[in-house]
Amino acid sequence: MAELHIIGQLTGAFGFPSQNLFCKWGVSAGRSWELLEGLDAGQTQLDLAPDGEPVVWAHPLDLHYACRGLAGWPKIFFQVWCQDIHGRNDICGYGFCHVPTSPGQYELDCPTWVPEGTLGERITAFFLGGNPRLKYEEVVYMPGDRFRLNTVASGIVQLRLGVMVKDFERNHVQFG
Amino acid sequence: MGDTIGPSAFTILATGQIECAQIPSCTNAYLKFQFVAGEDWQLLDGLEEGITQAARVPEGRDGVLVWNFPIDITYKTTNAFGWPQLVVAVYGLDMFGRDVIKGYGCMHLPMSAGRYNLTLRLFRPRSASALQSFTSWLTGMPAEFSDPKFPSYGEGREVTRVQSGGHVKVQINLLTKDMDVFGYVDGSGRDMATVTQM
Repeated sequence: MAELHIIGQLTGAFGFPSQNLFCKWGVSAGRSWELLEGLDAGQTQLDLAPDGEPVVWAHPLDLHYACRGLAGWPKIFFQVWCQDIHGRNDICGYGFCHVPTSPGQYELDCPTWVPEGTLGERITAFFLGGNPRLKYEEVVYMPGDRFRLNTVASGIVQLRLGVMVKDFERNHVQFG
Repeated sequence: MGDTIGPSAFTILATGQIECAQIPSCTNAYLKFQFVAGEDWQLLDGLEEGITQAARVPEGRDGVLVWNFPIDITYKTTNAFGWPQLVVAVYGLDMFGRDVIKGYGCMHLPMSAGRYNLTLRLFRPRSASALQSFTSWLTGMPAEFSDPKFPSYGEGREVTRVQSGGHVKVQINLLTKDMDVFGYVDGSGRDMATVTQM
């Protein structure tokens, strides 16, 4: 049976409106993938970075999947949250990226976006906090109905991933 | 299964050095490092932990602390899960001459054979309150992780609040042996424009 190892870390992020950030992350894979070892969801530390420097999470990722079918190749999705000086958490970005399908070592930059409300809602959010959040969070990583959603671009999440596969070539899978 | 008795495990060999660090407002520091690997991993050769010398930033130059500390480690395993991580902790001297933590860093060893220049960004725990940060400055005992391997864990990180600053540069050469016998493909030898500078 073919196996996939995803080993690396959620390095950090930059370009967000706040420098005090943490990230809730998860890995979603199709029905023919089974997680043998490792954690497929988690939350990073809350890091305060100096101005101009990227936020550092250095959160280790070590997943071991068994694969019976190629459909549903794993993808990593994130929710980046910021914490203000009063200790309130607010959503700062949603994003996802597919785990690369070729074995090797990668540095990935994943762009994120945040839902935007009307002008009135944005003015209220400026004073009271409370950015609009997604009701159905699968929208971030599932292809589907997004056309009613208005979003604005947010910062970039950095990942350093190593992908290693076992017995895929024995099953005639080409990586290129 | 093959006819001949093949190797029972594959091996990885990592050599290189902990080269230097640049940490704002730190002119004198040493580094403690540790390799953390999963249960299926067995150390064959090399030191899993160590301490570098105490380095000082030279006068009149950019603030670089140079250690040039050799890393040489060989592991044997049957399972790539638990791939070794390098955890570092940099301790500096405050103005009263006491050892204070300047930052922790962590990264996995690379998975493809090759030569890498890696940067570990450092972070350290934040004090819970302004009073605690003042008393820790006074007594020379800032907040530290009680378990030095904590930066390598994936669980329990959500309750930590840290501040980041500074980085450590590490060079690693990675060699693997017998991974193809186990059916592993690690992607080395491909055209990887993104690999050499991380």
